[in-house]
Amino acid sequence: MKPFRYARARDPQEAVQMVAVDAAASFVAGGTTVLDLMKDDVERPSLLVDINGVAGRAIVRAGDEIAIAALARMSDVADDPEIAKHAPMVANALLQSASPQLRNMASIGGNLMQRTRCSYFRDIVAPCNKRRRGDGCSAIGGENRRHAIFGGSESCICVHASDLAVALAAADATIHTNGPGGTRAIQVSDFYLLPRDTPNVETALHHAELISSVTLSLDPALANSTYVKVRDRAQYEFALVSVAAGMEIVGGTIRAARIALGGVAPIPWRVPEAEAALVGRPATAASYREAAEIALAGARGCGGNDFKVALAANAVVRALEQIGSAA
Amino acid sequence: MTKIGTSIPRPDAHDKVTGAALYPADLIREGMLHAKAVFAHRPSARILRIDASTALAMPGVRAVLTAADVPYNRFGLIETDQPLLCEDRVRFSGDRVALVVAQTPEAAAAGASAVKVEYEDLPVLTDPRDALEPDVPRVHEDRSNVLLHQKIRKGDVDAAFASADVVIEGEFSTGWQEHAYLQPDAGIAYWDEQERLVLETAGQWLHEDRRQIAAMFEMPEERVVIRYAKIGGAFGGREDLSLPPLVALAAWKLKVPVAMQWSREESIVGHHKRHPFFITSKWAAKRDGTILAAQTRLVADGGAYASTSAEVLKCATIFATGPYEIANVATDGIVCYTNNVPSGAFRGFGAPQAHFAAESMVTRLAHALGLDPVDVRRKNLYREGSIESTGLPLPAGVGAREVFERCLEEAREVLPVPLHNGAVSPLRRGIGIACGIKNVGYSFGFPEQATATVELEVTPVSIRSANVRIGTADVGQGAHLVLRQIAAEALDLDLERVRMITDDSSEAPNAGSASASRMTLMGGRAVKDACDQARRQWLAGEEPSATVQYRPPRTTPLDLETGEGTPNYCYGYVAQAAEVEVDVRTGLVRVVRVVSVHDVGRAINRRQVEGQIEGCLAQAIGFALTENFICRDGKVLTPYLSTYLLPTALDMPEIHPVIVEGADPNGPYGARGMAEMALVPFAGAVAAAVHDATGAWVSDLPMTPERVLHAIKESTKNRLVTPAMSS
Ligand SMILES: Cc1cc2nc3c(=O)[nH]c(=O)nc-3n(C[C@H](O)[C@H](O)[C@H](O)COP(=O)(O)OP(=O)(O)OC[C@H]3O[C@@H](n4cnc5c(N)ncnc54)[C@H](O)[C@@H]3O)c2cc1C
Ligand code: SF4
Repeated sequence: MKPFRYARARDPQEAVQMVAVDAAASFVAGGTTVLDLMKDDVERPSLLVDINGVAGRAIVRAGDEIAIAALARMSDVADDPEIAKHAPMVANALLQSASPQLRNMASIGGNLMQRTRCSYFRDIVAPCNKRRRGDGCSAIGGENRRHAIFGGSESCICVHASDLAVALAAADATIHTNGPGGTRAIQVSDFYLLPRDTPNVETALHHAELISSVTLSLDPALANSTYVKVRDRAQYEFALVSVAAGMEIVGGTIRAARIALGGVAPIPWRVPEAEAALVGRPATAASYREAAEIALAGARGCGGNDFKVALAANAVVRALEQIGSAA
Repeated sequence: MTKIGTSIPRPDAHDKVTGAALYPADLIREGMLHAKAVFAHRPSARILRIDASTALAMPGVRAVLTAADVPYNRFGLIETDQPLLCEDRVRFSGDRVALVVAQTPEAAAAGASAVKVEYEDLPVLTDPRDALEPDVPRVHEDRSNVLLHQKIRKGDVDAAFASADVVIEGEFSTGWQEHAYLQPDAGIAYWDEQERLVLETAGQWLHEDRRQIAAMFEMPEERVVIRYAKIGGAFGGREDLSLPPLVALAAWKLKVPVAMQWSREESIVGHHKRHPFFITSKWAAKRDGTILAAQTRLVADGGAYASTSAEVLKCATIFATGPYEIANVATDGIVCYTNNVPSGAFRGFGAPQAHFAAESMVTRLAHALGLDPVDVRRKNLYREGSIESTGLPLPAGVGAREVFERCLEEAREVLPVPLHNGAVSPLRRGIGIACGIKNVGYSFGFPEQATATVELEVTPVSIRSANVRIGTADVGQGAHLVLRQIAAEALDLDLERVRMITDDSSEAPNAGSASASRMTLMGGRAVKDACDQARRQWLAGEEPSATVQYRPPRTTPLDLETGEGTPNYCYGYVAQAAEVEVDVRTGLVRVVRVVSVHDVGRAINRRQVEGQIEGCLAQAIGFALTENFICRDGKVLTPYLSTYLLPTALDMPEIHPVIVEGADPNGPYGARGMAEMALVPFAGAVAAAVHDATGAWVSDLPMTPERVLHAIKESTKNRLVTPAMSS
């Protein structure tokens, strides 16, 4: 770890300003990701601006909307009764993330900004385009069991690590920010960027732009939802594949569907064609299987991860069955 | 009152769980210098130049040491083929090329990243099967890549294959495993007032650490003192010297106290692992279930340095036939050098890998014969007087059948029969059984002894207290309490009146390593014999102070071509039944329950025996299912515990530990070792259970979801194309 400075911000404006004037400065919330990356020398911020004092941790319901403050801890959100009732996929995704200790520290904003777990990314002597554009990608032709079957490019095939982001993508959530240029509202679908030839650029967030909150619009498909996560051990592990799914079912017929996959792409992977294929169909195993096949239609393995295609399809079926029978 | 056979609580437990106990890193004091190793981070290269000038100019940096600073730059437990700091050649990515010593850990780290090393990369050898080919690069220029080729030849396998009713073949592989002891490598070193070099650290064998370190600095052994702080687990991982000689080098050279700690990543990259094996098997049997022949080829990846590879390989070779008496055996065990992380001792020492193949083969053989795998085992299991594949009768005290029958009984009680496998549910349950055998103590003629000194404080009418001196590592298994219980029993003293002097090579005699499940038997016997002798001295009115060296029955090296010899003086026996749940859609395997039955001779402390069974099963779950150590192109890609997956509490099954006590002829009060046994048959039991659940055999460890899914897919395919058996 390189030496760095640390400062505490009192309000969002101060936090933004402190980071804005130093290109190598970073925010720190729970610190559970940024400190690991610093310890491994992957990130070398000159200044860490502590944002824990700048905003609350509130989770507020107003009408058909729930607003989650960026500094709410993962455990706050997972345990919130409104979230559990109206957006179970979000609560389930969080409860299956990391460990209880980490969830008590880690913030929602930090979770959305976490970096990939590609082992070459965290091994500073291995070439990695995400760490330094142009160095090459060690995972292509290397160890890629955990890598992408969708959305990869010639320069990067990593997968996004956040479970929450997958649920928020399925939920069409909005991310609200506060930056040097004022405030913005960004759809999750526009927030994460595919690697293309700039894998070092991961989100639409500008330098010094602070996530202030995340909002969810409630609807019946979100209320009847789940998160299925397949991983190598029973807990405390990132997804091999995961599925956030919600369906509105009326009289045995599917009215609306939301599906996003995790562990399969450099960004949370929404599958609109599979959703469209479900609408108007009976809530049966055959419909689910068909939707799963459509969801995985464009998937392509790169050797070590070929198994994920069938695994993800099975996970989609399992998720849809869970909410199909619950409805 | 009896002191043995009861569950006396551990005196060190409270301090360990409250954090009061001092582990090596807790010994670091203000004013010490700090050492940091420069790792090669490349698997195979020539070192052209090491430029330390920038590092030396940095604030706080006091010295940069290299190979030239080490008087005898070679070490190793069996063969001294490993340099403390590389001279001209790097052989694995965790090789150390320089050591930076500085005033603070930060300055040492900054200095280490400023040391410039110029390399010329050389070809990399990463597959031990390739190591056998003629034109591959040599890992050590001066010798063949084959570290050892051990054969066993008994009877005539070809004739047996020709006359057998069934012959089956199988291929297996097992992975590396990381010890992941709780306390990563650390230590302090300094010169004391008597001008002795003192090293305070954690290890498994005080006197062997002293021997190797004294040799490196060309010092008489008495001038080196090794002291163990509390040890946070070892599992074989501290048998080879990793960090300790580095910190010793800095203190020896600079004549000031020096401290050093490895991060988890440095520990994972820097110390040895369990050997990966590739195993091909061909077994034959008669219609009645008699196993006629077993032909096995085992190729193990020894990594860059010899470590204990040769001994591990020999153990795997003798256990290629499991605990079964088989008339015709042909085994070829081969271990090769590669540019991977070195492999060495790890709980089980070659037996778990060999048993995974052997136990899978026995069950498959039963299926091929249409017999119950239980009956096939009953027919072939070792009994008292059985001849080992190495040609001579087993040591007395063969508990293979007792543990097996007891396991079946217990399994009938705790495992549900019949299993409810709904036709539509993706969750399938299955049960598997497996047996195991593992040596207690050193094998193959390796010098085996343990020495203890007992000094009594007496009155004419009673023994008031005792000092027990025995140089042994309590690696967390509770060895010190067991030895104390044995002394208390032998002298009929309260436990509080027995003082243990155990952790200092200058204060306590050599009892050998805390490894090979040997300390209860060997150390315990030395303590008991010394107590008995001191007591006799007291009764005879002599000075009651006795030093006794216990030597067990002799073992011999194996003939390289035939395997003939006496490999071991004692074996432990184990049988297990495991119930699993397999999700056939995801390939995830969950072990639900396990019955683990152990012949321990005599349980000196029942709670500690059960603790060993449970802890060992946690590592067995990792070995069988979750711990997927990835070393690719010579690079370790799982250097963090966030990507190297140890089982968590939720991965643990319900455990039914069962203790069987068939007294060992040599052990103190009949006790023998057991701490490795639960790992030995476990993967085989899980494989059989997965087969029971799904009809698919998984032959590669760990059983990752994709391997399980693949096996299920293949087995369904085979079932579709194989016509139903007619006869
Ligand atoms: C062992 C381990 C296992 C894990 N397993 C999982 C898992 O299974 N699933 C999962 O989803 N996650 C997992 N995580 C990741 C964990 O969820 C994240 O570490 C955590 O959410 C990060 O939150 P934080 O507040 O600690 O972020 P910090 O470490 O404080 O910050 C992380 C990054 O986000 C930036 N940041 C923080 N807050 C804001 C903000 N408001 N606006 C803009 N930028 C911000 C920081 O500058 C920094 O770059 C795991 C982590 C660990 C260490
Ligand atoms: S996949 Fe992406 S993160 Fe991983 S090595 Fe390639 S460029 Fe780096």
